[in-house]
Amino acid sequence: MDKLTLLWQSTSLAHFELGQIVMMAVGCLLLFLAIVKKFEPLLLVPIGFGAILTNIPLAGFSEPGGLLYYIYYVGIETGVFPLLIFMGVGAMTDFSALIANPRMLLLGAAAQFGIFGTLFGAIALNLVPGFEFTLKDASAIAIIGGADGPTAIFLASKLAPELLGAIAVAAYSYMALVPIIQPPIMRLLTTPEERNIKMAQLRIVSKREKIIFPLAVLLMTILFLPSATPLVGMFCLGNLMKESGVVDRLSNTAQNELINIVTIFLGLAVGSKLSADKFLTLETLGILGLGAIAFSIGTAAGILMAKALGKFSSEKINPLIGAAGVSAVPMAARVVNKVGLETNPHNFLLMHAMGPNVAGVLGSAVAAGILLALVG
Amino acid sequence: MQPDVTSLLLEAGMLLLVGMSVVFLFLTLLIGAVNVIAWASAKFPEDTPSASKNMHNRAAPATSQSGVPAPVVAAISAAVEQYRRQH
Repeated sequence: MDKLTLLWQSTSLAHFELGQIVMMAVGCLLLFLAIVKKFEPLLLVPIGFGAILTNIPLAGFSEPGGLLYYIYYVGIETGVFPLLIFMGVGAMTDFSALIANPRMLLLGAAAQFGIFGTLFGAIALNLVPGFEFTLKDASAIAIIGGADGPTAIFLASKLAPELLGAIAVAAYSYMALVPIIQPPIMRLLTTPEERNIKMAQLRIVSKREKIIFPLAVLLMTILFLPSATPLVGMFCLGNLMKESGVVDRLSNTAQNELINIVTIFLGLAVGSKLSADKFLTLETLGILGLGAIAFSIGTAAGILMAKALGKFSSEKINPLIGAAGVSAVPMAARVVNKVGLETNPHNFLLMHAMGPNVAGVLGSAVAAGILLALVG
Repeated sequence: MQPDVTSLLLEAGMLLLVGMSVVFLFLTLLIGAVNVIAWASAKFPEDTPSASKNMHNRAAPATSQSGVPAPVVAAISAAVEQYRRQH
């Protein structure tokens, strides 16, 4: 009989808690969204699986000595994984649309209003009983509005590690939902005539400009915003490897093998933070709500800025491209292209939207640097 | 609790103002930097033989380097893009 009790005690069945079962269901939901609905599958598959693993009773994946504990400790607590991913993103980014029309940087800047507006909103949520966000928490939540996974994870790991799971899940879920969240806002804020505006073709950018650009961005970040240099620095390194053309091997590794390896570990580590006591809280609901608001505000601010810019500009600007200012590369730019085509099937905005799109990546990295400097 | 939230809200408001100003300032400076780079590139064109050949091709905006007219290239890439999205 003793042996039977012992055997029973060594099964998970005897130790399951309700929270763990719910969190495993959340993990399965993430797997479903990734596999069936194709929502950001590259990240949601490892995140969802990590969530299942971390909630297994007795296995101790996320306790000292467990696999996920060390992956999190090595990669996210130190900030290394998001930065390596950012290097890969840099190696995949083509800045020529932005260099050809640098004013698009203003659209990328305007869309960051989503971040700072949400920061305000997160603090205002403290008026509702049950919410107690500190300024650090609020900043980490607000960065979801930057629509940039690695930036959000980097900032959250520095400012509010206990909210990291919810923030990462919200950030990646909403990035997958960009084609659903953005178009209604875009249609609401623009008239059909505005959506119909055709933009002048972009000039061809020389290779030398593309090589100097990341160095110039880095120099300015060093001078004015050193707290953003981890993000911007790795991003510029990746971009320089690509544009210089002399280290194709390194550039290929950064944008393929390395980013893939790191993505697996990053996803697992984020999943390990989806434990019942951290995730099944009222705060998570608040974070999910605020994330959606952040995306919407960012989109609206970008469009309104594009309208304002179009009024003062000699060249015509289609206000739709402002919506691409919330990074989410290249999804947001594709959405702009699609909404543009609905109005005029001959008006291709993809290349024009790539300018504000990559500007948004820089903008959210800069915003993260500001938050780190002022709140961290 | 209440006065605490008020002071936090004030601080968040300040962050909103300061943050947005710095983002705009930084990216505006970057616009200036990109314009300087473009100006310098135009002023001192690359003088390697292959580069000057490229420059020559660029002078004729209607055709790309392979001799296919640019509007045709644009139309084909757009069609490919559309096809990929549908399939």
